[in-house]
Amino acid sequence: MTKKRLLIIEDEFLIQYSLKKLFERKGISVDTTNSGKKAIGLINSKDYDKIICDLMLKDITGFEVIEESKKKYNSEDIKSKFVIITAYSSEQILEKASYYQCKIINKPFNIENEDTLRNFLE
Amino acid sequence: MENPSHSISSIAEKLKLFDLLSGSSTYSKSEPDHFQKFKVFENIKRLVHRNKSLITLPQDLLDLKIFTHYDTCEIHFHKKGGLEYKVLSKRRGQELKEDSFNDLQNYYNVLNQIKKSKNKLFESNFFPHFNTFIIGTFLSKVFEFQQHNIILILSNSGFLYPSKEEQNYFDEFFHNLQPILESRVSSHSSLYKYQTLAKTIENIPLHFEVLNTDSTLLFRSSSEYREEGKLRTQEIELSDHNLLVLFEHNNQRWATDILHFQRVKLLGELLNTLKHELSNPLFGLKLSSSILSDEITDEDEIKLLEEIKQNCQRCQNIIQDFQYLYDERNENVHIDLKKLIREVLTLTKSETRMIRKRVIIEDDRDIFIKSNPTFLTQILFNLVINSAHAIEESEPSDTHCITIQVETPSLDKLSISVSDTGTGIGSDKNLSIFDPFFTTKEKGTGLGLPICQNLAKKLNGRLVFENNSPLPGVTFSLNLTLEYYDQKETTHH
Repeated sequence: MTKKRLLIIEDEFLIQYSLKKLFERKGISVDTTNSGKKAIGLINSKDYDKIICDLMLKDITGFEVIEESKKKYNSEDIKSKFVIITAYSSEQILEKASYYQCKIINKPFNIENEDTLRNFLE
Repeated sequence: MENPSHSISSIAEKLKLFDLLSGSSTYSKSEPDHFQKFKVFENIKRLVHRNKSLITLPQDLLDLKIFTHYDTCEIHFHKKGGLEYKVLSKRRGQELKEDSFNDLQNYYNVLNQIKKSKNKLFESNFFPHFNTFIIGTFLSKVFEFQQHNIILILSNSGFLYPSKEEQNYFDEFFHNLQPILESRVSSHSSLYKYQTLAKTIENIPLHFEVLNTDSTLLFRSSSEYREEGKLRTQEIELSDHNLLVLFEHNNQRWATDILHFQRVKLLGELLNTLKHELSNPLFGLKLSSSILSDEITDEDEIKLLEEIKQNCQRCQNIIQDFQYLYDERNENVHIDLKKLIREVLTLTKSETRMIRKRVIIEDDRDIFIKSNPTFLTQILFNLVINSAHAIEESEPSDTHCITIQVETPSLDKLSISVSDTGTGIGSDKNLSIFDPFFTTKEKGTGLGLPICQNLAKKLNGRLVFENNSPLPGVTFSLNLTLEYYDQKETTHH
């Protein structure tokens, strides 16, 4: 079985670092970045099984990352690969996310619960 | 050559406008955001200063420079439970039209449609059964208060819709006008009651004195009373001792309403920003300490990390709770009273440092009530802070204590008292402490207690106080009559 590959796009270092550690313990190979633009580069040059993406990044928004990755992925791929993590789940954001049909996980979430982690990878 | 008199008048016109701009130095109608320069609160203050009653409110609104290009203002209001609703319609240059209608179903149809509409733009022919004098497009807003529902309308009797900026301004302005609108409508409704009562008092050939002060005579005779022009502004209440008290409520009282509203709004915005800015880093701290605690074997270090995690959680809870404290909605919800008191004590922690605090609830049972948590918290918050200040001013002692006691004398009555061991209230200040701008503190605004009293009234309650005897200090009690309270019901707070 090939190792799963995960990309975490999150600019809050402690969250990024913790998620990376957590998934690496599960035997998953994890790349991280705090920049949306760098993330687009990574998405184009590598193949990921899942992309965990924060919405409020310092340079661009998570939605722009998704929009850019359309060059490589079709809408089915986007739906299954991207997981949005956000602390600001306003109605507009939920509406926009539902357009891409990808999963949204609200911050804060409880990582001591196994279901939460499974939720990321499913 | 330009007519000199014309240019002078236009300069005067411009100067008048400058006056309205409050701080901004240029004015140009072509600027898209020129509405923002008409500071909302400046205009509201202007209106409150000018407006005396609901009857003149439409005209007073039209008189505001910011609304000069509207020509009709209507207020449709219905007192809940009443069989008819009233319409006040004022068109520039015409007499105010006052009318009553009883087709409440139509009224509520229109009200609900306006409520649901996102942009609040309408045309008179949208509503075929709407009793309005307006022709053309209009802006409208619905207000739902405890006793009244109101539809407010501004129209330019034209066919063009107002710009986005105008809509936003309209919305912001009337959102902030809510406390005044509510009080104007309710005083309009109870005007008849007051008039009758005032007339009765006028005709009794006795002097009325205010409670136990030695000098204040409110009025001697009907003629003097009227000369002072206070007829409209007298509120008559029976105090706890069945003595007649006349409250003068003038614009100062509205000042407390507006200030409170502003304060809550500002705090709400501030806390919202704080919540957003803090919750992400806090979450990061919590996550990383979780990750670390899996890798560490030293027991002391594990304990330390556990402590860090718990503290992060505590901070998150506090941020979460703030949200409920400054909620603008004027709604009654189920409240866990014990929890609310705990929150108040958390919020006042820094002011009450070094002072013992006690919470006394009979049998230490849980009490759930239906009330407005924002108002309740603000009252208790203010009272606890006042207690702390009173204790600070008195002789230092180890026995100082702030006591919050909850009593339920009957099923629909609840009393929450905040008692301190401070300096107490001198008999000379007895009557003044609820007056706006009365303060004994160096840095006080003198608005704390008037705001509390005002909020207490909104909660269908009353704030009273008594000096502790023989012990030092004072006890403020908030006596509430509740919709219901339940000791078992689970909370939805």
